[in-house]
Amino acid sequence: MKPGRAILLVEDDDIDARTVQRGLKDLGVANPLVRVGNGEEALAWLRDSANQPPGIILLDLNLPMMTGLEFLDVAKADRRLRRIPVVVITSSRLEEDRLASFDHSVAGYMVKPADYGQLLEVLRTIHHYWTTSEAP
Amino acid sequence: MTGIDVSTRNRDTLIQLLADVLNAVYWTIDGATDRMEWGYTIKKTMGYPDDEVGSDVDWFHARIHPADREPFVDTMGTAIKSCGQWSGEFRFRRADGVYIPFRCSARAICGPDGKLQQTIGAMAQMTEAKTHATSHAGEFQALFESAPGLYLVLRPEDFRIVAVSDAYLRATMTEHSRIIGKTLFEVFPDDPTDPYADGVRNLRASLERVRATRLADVMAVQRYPIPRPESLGGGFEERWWSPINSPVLGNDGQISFIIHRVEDVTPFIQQMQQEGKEVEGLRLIESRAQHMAAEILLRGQELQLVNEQLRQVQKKLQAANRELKDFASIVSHDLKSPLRAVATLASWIQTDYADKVDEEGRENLAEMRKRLARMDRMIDGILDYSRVGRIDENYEPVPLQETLAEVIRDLNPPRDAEINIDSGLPVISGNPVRVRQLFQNLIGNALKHGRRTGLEIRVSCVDLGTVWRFGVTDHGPGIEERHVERIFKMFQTLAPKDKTDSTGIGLAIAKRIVEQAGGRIWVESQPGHGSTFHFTWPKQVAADKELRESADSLEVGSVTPQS
Repeated sequence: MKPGRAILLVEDDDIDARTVQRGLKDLGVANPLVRVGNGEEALAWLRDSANQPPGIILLDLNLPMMTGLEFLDVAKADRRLRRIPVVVITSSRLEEDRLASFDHSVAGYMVKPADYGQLLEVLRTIHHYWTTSEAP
Repeated sequence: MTGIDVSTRNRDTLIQLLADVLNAVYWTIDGATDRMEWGYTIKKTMGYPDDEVGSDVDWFHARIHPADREPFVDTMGTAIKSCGQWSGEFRFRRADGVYIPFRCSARAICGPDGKLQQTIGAMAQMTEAKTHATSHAGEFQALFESAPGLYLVLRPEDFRIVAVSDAYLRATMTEHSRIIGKTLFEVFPDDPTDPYADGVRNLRASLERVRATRLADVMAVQRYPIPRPESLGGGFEERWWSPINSPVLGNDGQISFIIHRVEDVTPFIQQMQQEGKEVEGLRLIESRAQHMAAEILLRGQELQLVNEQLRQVQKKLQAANRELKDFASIVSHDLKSPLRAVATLASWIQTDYADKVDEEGRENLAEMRKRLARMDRMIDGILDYSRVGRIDENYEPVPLQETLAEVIRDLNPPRDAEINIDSGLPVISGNPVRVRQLFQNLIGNALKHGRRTGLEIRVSCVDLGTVWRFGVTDHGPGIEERHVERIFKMFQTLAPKDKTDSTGIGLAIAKRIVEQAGGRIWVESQPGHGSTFHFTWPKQVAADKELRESADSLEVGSVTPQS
């Protein structure tokens, strides 16, 4: 991932969060990982002027308080937030979730694999994409 | 007069007495002089005093009714000249000017030389009844016979015909001379070729009723065919009659005659029969229409009932669909999360504690991860299956040639596998994702169950008119007949669960996709030689889609019953 920039992980499940954490570590990604539990917390962190804007947001959809799609509604309407690439990492394979996510201009949509090995592959792909892509 | 001895002188007295008692008049005319002498009763009977009674023939002739005079003079004159006898009737004028009908007999008395010596005549006044009968009989007969009605006059004792009107003769195509004096039934017998003829029986019954009751008897309209004269071809002619039999009673109250009056109602009946046929037809149509109306009403009520039931079923389906969708998201989000967590943790233990776990522990962890992976696939399978069951499909043209190329590329078959696809596969109508999934499952199945080496798969297509029939053939072990039904059910595989990657959902999903499109799927298999999975795909899936859309409103042929 782009050096220095933080990765914002919006995930309520501790094991899933630890999986991503560990995966990034296993892949040797050195960027700081910030984890929040729902959409509201994510918005709060993003709008906190003390925090530098993250390089990427990894977003779960099924979240308490404010779901991933509700977060996208707000974030993509916010001029300062809408250019931050968002990759959805979810357990939902539902067509409507996928379509709704891309309607909200997400950069990618990944289904969480059950197998940790496969998850590593997913994270590796995201890492490659993000480091190669010329993001703002 | 024999046996009575009356002297010549007394004979005169007898004549006078007879004339007196009979209101008769007698006279003589002298053959040579035409001088006429009247018996004395002329005064009493006719009111002529002696001095008024003329003594010549002219006086006599002048008092005969002018209408009767000439025939009388002519015929009597002729009879007398030939020394004969004459009798006849004429009206003779009384002294008060009234003409009285007389019956008259006259005889010529001639000498041996044939010369007329004297004419003797006697005239008797006629009774009232006799007067009418005789003087007007001709006129009345003429009147009766020319009456426009159809009349027969019958003798009551034997029903013999004594008079008939001309109209009757015309209507029955017969003649006066041929029927007078015969019985009615002789003249008009039943048609012997008609087993249902009852005219004679009915007529006789009616006449007998008249005779018994002395009352008129109106008969129902009778079918009474009449014999056709030979000159008109013979046989019988169909006729319908409306007869009335009326008694003619004498002074004694007994029946003197029966008048049989009929009307020929044949044209009327024929018209009725014609109309009757039409009316009958109309009645039939009307009755059928009523039946149909009742049927429609019934069907309408049934339809309403069925519609109501369909509405209920649809509600249940919609609810089930919603539940399925909810279930799908529950499974995908909530059930998979803990599963994933277990799998991840197992994976970490396997790597993080590799040196602390012995060989058996490592094997157990590996088996655990296999089962977790399997459970994950099964959950995905359930999700796939439930998604096919949803009705929000989008139908569009699917070019199979390209779709199959993609499917095979994605399946990544072994290099030595030979997959033959019929050229010129059609563009079908369907949901591209589902069609892809269908072929993926069937070809994937063939790859999975085919021979380990020298794999041969064939995809074929036949145009059956309204549907396409596709076939996916492999040369694998085949399926025994008893398992054929089983394989299309969810989670059914023929191999032990831990010896296969298959979740047993692929064919269930394939079946569901085909049936959603209105097709049918089945397998033909020879154990040891391979299997062919066939399925049909309607060419008009669009129509099916419309049907499905209209199923939302579910108005199946609304019929409003007429109230």
